[in-house]
Parts: sequence; structure tokens; C-alpha cells
Amino acid sequence: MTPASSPHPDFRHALLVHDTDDQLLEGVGAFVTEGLESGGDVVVLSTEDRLGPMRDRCGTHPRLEYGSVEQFYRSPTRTLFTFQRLLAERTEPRVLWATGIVPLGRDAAAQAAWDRYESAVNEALAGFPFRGLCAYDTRTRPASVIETARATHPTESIDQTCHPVPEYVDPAAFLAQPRAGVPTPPTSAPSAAATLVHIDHLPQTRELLRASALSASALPPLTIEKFLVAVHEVAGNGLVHGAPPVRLTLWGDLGSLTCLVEDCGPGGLDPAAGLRVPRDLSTLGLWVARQQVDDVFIGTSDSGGCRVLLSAT
Amino acid sequence: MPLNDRHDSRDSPGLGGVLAVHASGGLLIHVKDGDESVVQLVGDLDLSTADELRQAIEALLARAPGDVLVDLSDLQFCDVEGVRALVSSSTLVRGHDHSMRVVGARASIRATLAASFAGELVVVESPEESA
Repeated sequence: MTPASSPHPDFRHALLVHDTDDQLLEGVGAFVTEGLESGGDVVVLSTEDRLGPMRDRCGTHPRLEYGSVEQFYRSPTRTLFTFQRLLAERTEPRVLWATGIVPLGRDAAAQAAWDRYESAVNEALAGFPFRGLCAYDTRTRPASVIETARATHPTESIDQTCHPVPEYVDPAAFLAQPRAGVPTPPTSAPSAAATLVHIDHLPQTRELLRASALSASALPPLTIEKFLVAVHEVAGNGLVHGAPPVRLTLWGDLGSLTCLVEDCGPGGLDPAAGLRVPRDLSTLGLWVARQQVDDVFIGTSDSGGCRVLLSAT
Repeated sequence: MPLNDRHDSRDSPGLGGVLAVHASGGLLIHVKDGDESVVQLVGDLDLSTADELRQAIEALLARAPGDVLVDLSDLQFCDVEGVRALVSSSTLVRGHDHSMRVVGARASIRATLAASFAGELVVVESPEESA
């Protein structure tokens, strides 16, 4: 799988690090002004408590909208694909400018998920005329979070000018770093396992996984069905683009499902594959799979084939 | 490789009532010709069976050109290949200046359609479907 092609010429993903509320308002204000004056559509996502000051600073305009961070940033993967869908469905030729505040994770795993979201923006949204500005408050974000934000944003807005960030790394490289929090497969006893050598084995495998997931977890049936679609697409890819046998291992507990899919093909799938809206059919299944679950992690198995870990909660 | 016998009634064009095609992996297609023909899918529409749908729609258009209603209420599973078959079938029907409606998709299938940017293909017919 070849790495990402170059981004849209109007794609920007910038970081705004601020120590005070005034700096935030200045940075967002300048962003909004530039967006409106250049003819773009602008969205300001703010926390409820700052919405008032934001409106005072940025005013009203037919091409300016305000939204709530609490409503928009609910879960990393859902937010990513909601943004992508919004951009893909736009009929206006204008650039979309959006500024917001990515939530602070409630624990290390949640923070890593939001960090991966920020990194994934550089792949998932890069094909669109989109200018993003993400605000990070040093008073509420630990230094490690700010440091990681420099690895996930190609540019930083400093005194209202955008500068390249030397610490930025591309999405595939970010995922290889320990702070990206890519998990290793569980070591506990699995709930189910299956080996497939042909696509005709997929239906029986789904039956097995469905029964196991329903008995092992309390996740809603729809979540389980969507998880099965994702596993099916990845397993199908393993058989068709990788090579059989494809081994599936499922771990289900009360609140989560994890499935490992390993094939015996040549491997080499880009860890960031399936994030972009597909131009051709080669990543269609993987792109759809990513939208059905919380996480899809792509790596290499011991035999050198593709190893994909899917999880849903 | 199909494990079951395939019964293809394209060689009996007079059989205007029901065309049933068995394929490995479990897709049954029941077709009722009419001004708006009904194509009922039962089982799994996926990479193993997607072509069966395309072939059934082609045969239907050749035999009884008209509007088509695709009923997914007994369809248990649909993957991306299945979505592609639905989309290309819709394109084919529209190319013959007719319309194709897709109804009865369960929530998980609607999610797959939506994720594939094919959500507008589906008509929401009943309150349960929008749950």
C-alpha cells in the first residue's frame, strides 16, 4: 500500500497554543477574520463557557457559525468521520475553516485516542479544502499533551502567523510511536477463534463471532453487527489481497469487543490506510470498516503478513 | 466456488413469477415481476453473492423493464461489495429510465450504506427503521 498522496493545496491543520483566554480569543479572532475575508465558510467550536466571549470577539456573519465542543467532540473516530463526511458532502467551492478544542482525555488511553484523532486528520481530511485550527490551553493541558500536539500538527499559529512545526510526523510514523498508544493484542483467553481459507467461510465465521460476542459482551446488538461488518471487510481483504489462511481471534468482555485478524500475505499495509475517502476500490472496505468501530490498528504479524486489531466499546 | 447447485432460470424466460437463485454463502433472490417489480433479498449480500444481485436485476430489466423495489427486510448481512451491487443495480435501472427504491434495510445495513456514501439510496419506510 503506497503512502498518502499530497494534500489538497488548501488543506491546513494548525496548532494554537495559548496561556491565557485573551491569547485564545486573539488567535481565533484572527483565524475567523482571515477565513471570512478570503471568502471561506467559518465554524467556531467553543466550550459553552467561552461561547459568549467568542461571539463578542468574532461577531456575526452569514458565513460564520458557532458550535459546541461538548456536542461535536464526543468520540475520536466518530468526530473524524463526521468532519470527513461534512467536507465530502459540501457543494460549495469555498474553503471550510474550523477552529475547536480537542478534549483532554480522562485517562492515558483516552488521551492517546484523541492524539491519534489529531494525527489522523492529516490523512482523513487532507484531500479537502479545509483549514483547521486546534486550540491547546497550557493551563489545563499537561506539557506532554502539548508536546504530542506538535507531532500531530504540521503548522502552528504563533502571533497570528503560521509556521511549520519541526516536530511534526506523518500519521503512519506517529502510530509507530509509543505515545500513540497502539495496543498489543490481549493475552487473556479468547472468546472465539477461527481460521478461514476461503471467502465462503466468512458467513459461518460471522455466525460464530456473533454468537460469541452476544454471549460475552453487553454491547448493543447494533454495535456488534457493525463490528462484524468491519471484521468481515478486514478478513475479506486478508483473503483476497493478503493470502489465506486468515486467523481471527475474538475477545469479548462486558463493555468491549476486540478482534485480531492476521493473514499470510506479504503484509506491508500502511498503518494509515483506509482513512482517506477512497478514490478507487482498493481501500473501500477498510474505509467503511474504520467507520463501524472505534479503532482499527494495522501492523505486521510474526509471519510478515498483515495484522489488524479492531476494537469497539 | 459454489457449494450448492445453482438454478438459473434465465434460460426459461417465460417464468415471469419467481426467480430463485441459490448461491454459496446464502443469498436467495425472489423476484415478482410487475409495473414495479419486487426484488426480495434473503440472507447475505456480500462479496460471494453480490454478482447474483446484478445478474438478477439485468435479467429482470431484459424480461420486464420497469420500476424496481428492492426489499431488504429479510437481508441479514450486507458488506461493501453488496453496497456496490446495490448502487450499480440502481444505476442500471436508472439508465433504463426507471427508478429503483430500496426498502426494509435493518439498522446495521443502513450504517454500512451510509458509511459508503450510499445512504440516500435507501428509503426509510417505517418508524422502526429510523430507530
